[in-house]
Amino acid sequence: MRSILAVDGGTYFHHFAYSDPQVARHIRRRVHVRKLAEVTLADFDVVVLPCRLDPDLMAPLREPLLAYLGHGGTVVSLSAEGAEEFLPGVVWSPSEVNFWWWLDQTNDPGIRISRPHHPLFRFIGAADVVWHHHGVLVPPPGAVPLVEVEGKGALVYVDRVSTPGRLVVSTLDPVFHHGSNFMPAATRMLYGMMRWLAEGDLGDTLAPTVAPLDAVTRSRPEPAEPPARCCA
Amino acid sequence: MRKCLFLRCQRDHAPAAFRSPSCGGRVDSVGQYELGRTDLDTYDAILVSMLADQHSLIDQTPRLEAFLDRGGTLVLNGHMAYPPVAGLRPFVPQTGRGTEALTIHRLADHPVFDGVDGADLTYRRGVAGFYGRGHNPAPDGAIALNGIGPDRDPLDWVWQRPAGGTVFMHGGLDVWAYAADPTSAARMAPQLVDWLTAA
Repeated sequence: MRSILAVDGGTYFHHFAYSDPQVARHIRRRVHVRKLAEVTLADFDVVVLPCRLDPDLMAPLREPLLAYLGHGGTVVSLSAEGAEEFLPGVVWSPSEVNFWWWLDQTNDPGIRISRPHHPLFRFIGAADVVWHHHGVLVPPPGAVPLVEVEGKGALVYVDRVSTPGRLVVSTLDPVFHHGSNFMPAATRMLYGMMRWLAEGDLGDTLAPTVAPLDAVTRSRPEPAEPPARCCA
Repeated sequence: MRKCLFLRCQRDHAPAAFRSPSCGGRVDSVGQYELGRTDLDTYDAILVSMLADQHSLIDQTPRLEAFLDRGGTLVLNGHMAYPPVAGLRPFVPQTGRGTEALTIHRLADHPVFDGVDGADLTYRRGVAGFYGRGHNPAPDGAIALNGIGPDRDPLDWVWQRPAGGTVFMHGGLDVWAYAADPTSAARMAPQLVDWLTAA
């Protein structure tokens, strides 16, 4: 059983998501973001960063987070917006948030699990990652996309290249939706991800630690729309 | 001029509704962590988003209650996890399923909801559940404005505090998030500012 540190931004959705016994049972300690600098990250196997953390509060924590990753720690960021200010290798582009895709049953949002054999997906099903998303990611060369939007980019990836640790980045925001009492898929994703982090195989054998030799420089995709806020 | 103070939850948190001509420069904003260093005497209302760091906001409870005692109005959105003022209680989620559990019912007239069709609150592009998914229980003496579900639980209410001031509660998505909707729900944000700044 890995020890998980859950960072809490003090919002209602962080509170209610983390208070759910199905989530809370996996959390060793919950710390408010403004107290995070006082925590020894190395005491934990996994640090979970939910959506809607204020980058102004997180940016001063870049060095401790890099040091933690540098010693092999695992950081899971359930948001990419602003994450480039405090996490390495994050290249993110906002996209129009389509809250309505499911109204038309013929509308396929194109969200696909790209590594179905990754052990994360012993805990999360294909339908559990399908709702609207907040932009797409361009994983660093060598990082492994786990969920992608066909032809557009990644929604979840794991990066073992940028640091000696593991960095999981997601533009799916299950903490907001579970903590807001809606979106059953988000609830299933959060439950599954917490179980995976606590007791699953983290999939290191599937994720290279060096970039391929033919890696090309990444470019940030052009945003189609201004950034959409977290459903508000 | 009477003015409102909006608490920004992040550096770029600036709802378009408050920059629109209809709000006419009556809404200033300040980062939520600056509240303790802000002179509140020049404001008639404080606007709190559903995205607020409620845990930190309770550090400001004495200032917020003093602001209310002086006759100010506190507008709260979202689910109460850490009620910032005595008398408020935590959020109660809806238990029923389906549209009926999420239907919004007008319970009393109020200037914020003048001309706002309940159906435009219940549904957004045909989808129910954006406006509210439960309620923050109303204190004794509060007036319920909109109820949710078959029991018409008080989703929106206004409370004249016995000690002074007014709390306007909307227990869901920020009312100003509807300002660009092509429905009558767009009326809420300017009408809220009008109500808060009425002489």
